[in-house]
Amino acid sequence: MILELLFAERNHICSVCVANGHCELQSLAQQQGMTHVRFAYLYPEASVDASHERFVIDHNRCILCTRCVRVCDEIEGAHTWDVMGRGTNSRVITDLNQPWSTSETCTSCSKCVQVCPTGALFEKGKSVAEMAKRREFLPYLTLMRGQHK
Amino acid sequence: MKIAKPPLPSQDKRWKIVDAKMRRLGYKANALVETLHTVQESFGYLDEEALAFLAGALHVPPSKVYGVATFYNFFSLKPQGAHTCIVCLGTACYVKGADKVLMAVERYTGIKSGETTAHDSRTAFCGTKSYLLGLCG
Repeated sequence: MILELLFAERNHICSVCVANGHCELQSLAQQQGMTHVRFAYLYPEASVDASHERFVIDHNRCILCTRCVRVCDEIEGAHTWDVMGRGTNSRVITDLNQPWSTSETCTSCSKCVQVCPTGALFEKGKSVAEMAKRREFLPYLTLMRGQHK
Repeated sequence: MKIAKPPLPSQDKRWKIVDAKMRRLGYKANALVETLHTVQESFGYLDEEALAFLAGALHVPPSKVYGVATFYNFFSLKPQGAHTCIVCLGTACYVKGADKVLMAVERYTGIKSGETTAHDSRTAFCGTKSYLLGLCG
């Protein structure tokens, strides 16, 4: 049911998503044998910010797992991402809710893009189902920083 | 290492109040909410300049400042009207027809809740939805 609520909260359309086939939300839904969503979709008005030179944030696909916020703060140490608002109005933001490209703290390290479980954060130029995430660096980085994963 | 104090954004005296507050709290990052309160009270709202200044002065990531400012109901990013109309939409009030009251207010003022009328600032009006003011009965 939680999965269905996640699907209903934003505009998740797998067939046209860059992360189709590489999406954790999609895999979980398949694993659980989810066939349809029992709840009315909210169809929130969510924007797409493609201002960054290399990456895009599509709020329609964001599930607010805040992995990007955590990796940016705890691993990269830049804390470019954070969550704004409350409830259905919540969004992940860069700096003062400004276009990603104008963010002064962002180091363009792409860690947020790699840890994003869905297609909300992806590299520019990737088409449908082409955005496979590479997370191999994470265990090494956490090890080097002496943290326990 | 002593970090240089960022200059105040303008000559506005109200920044002195904000700065005094931050100094009293030792420019600590955990004084963010307290400082935002002071800015909200002295300016009436939080603009981007204020948020950026606080982020620099308290050494808090700007995204965090923005997140805190949008999370709490008390803070407002837009200038508020001189008068605020609050309509309680708590369960008891809702049963008694609070939605109709809100609709009537919206129709009368011609704005949606959360907005401010376009008159000059003295007669400006803004509506707010609220939940449970504790005035039931």
